[in-house]
Amino acid sequence: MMSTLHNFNATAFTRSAKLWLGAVALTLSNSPTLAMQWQDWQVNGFASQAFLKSSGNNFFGDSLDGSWDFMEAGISAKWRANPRLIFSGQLFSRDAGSTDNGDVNLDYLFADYKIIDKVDSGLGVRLGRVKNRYGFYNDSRDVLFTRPSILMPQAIYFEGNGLRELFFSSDGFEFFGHWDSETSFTEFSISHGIDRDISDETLKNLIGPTASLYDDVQTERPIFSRLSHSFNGGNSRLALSSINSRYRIRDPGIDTSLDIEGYVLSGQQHYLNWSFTAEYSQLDVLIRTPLGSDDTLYNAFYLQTQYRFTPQLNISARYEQTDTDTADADPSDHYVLSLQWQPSQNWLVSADIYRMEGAFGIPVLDNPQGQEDQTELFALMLAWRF
Amino acid sequence: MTGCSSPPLHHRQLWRRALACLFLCWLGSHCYAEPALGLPQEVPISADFSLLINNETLDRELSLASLRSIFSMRKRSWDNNQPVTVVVLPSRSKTHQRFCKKVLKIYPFVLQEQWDRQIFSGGGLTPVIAKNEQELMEIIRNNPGSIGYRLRDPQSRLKNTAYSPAQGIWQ
Repeated sequence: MMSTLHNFNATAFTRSAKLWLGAVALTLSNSPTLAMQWQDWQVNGFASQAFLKSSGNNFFGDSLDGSWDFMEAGISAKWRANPRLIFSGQLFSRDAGSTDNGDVNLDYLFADYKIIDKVDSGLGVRLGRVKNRYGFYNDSRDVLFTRPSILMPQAIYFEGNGLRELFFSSDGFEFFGHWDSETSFTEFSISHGIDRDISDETLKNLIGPTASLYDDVQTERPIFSRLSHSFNGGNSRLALSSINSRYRIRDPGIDTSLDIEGYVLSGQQHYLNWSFTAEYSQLDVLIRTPLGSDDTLYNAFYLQTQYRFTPQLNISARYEQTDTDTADADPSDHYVLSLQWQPSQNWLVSADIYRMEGAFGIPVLDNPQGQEDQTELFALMLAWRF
Repeated sequence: MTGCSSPPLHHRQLWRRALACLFLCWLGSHCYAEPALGLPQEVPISADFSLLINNETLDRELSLASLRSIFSMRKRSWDNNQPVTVVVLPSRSKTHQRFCKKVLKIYPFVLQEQWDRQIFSGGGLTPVIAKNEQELMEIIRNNPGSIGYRLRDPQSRLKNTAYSPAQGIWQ
């Protein structure tokens, strides 16, 4: 009986093996097919490593003594299942001093369906873990190739506060659309998420070491939106983004919430050798605890200019300011100078100098001894992509 | 024992066949590319450039807005539902830079920024980069739905190639 079974198995196996081999042979015999399959798949990746040296405060690790504790790496894949449907996902790891721990996370994963796809307009929906479009840079903030300096502008993107997770993605859906005309194109995106747990890491960045006392902490119904309008073939770009989100600790007896509501105005102008970028945000942050509530208004902006010596070499200068309506707090000012050299399409080296006046945006957990008022930071980063 | 083992085995065999069939169908849907005659078309678009298009439902009046939508990877499919595949030369090549400036009227670094945002923010697919003009031509010839460009050089190219202006097709 056993041998009959074996024979039966073997026959079935041989038959299906033939089918599979036939399929593979068919694929190989048809070279255009290989190209098509390759074109329906796209795999990209990036990795970057920084060295940081500072005076005043630590920024991402023990940078007063020199820190290698800032690294980003991601691998993403896209599959075009049919002309209108694309599946897209990314695994990502980020280490940034005590604000991020290098764990590998599913950064985003969504189905992206284009409902209308006309020659000069389109409308689509994404479903899954989707990216939040916010300001010019939030949706591609982790890749040195797509941001203006090693550290994101603190004024709009909260780089040093370790709140990336709260801004970056939502578990839910995104509607997006675009219109092209002879002289301009307009895009919009709105993402809406369901409630999602906040990681211990981010909560620690938000409220300090007492974070470990809480179990039930969630982002509640975040809504992000962005409307952008480009003209002169993308040389001029304007955008209006908004955020509306609540973060809540629901442990018994400690119903504490943090509401963020606000908007960002963004503008950019490119010339052959020069680019000018400015973003302004106003955020209303309302904290409610059983003991009372506290409402703070944050006004922040940055102005940035970039000069391209050659397509491979550019220098940027940026001034950032963050101010609150709290009477006793001085505005925080950041001055940034960044030199970027791209020896090839895949490699980028950046050398930046930062002068940060005020403690806003200085990672609290990197400085357990307390924060100084002034920080000078030199940062060097090597980035690679494929 | 036979009574117990046979049905699962039978099921397994069925599953294997079904899977193999599905795989074949999937392959088939990718393999079967109608070898359309006269494709790709070469359509003069400016004094310097012509577009190479492997799609029979081409709208001859591709406007600047449509071209920008296509080359910025916002548009995904043609009218006949074929996926749009954009094929370009390396962004540092003089031809590509000239195409951006003269035809799309976009600075090459601005177009590159748009692609980089697409790549790393998970949006649509990004262009296929051909090493040189021959490879670009080869990819377009073999892939229905693809679009690219090439430098027109009327002095040298028109002499050697039969061009039928009526059909807009290079033979």
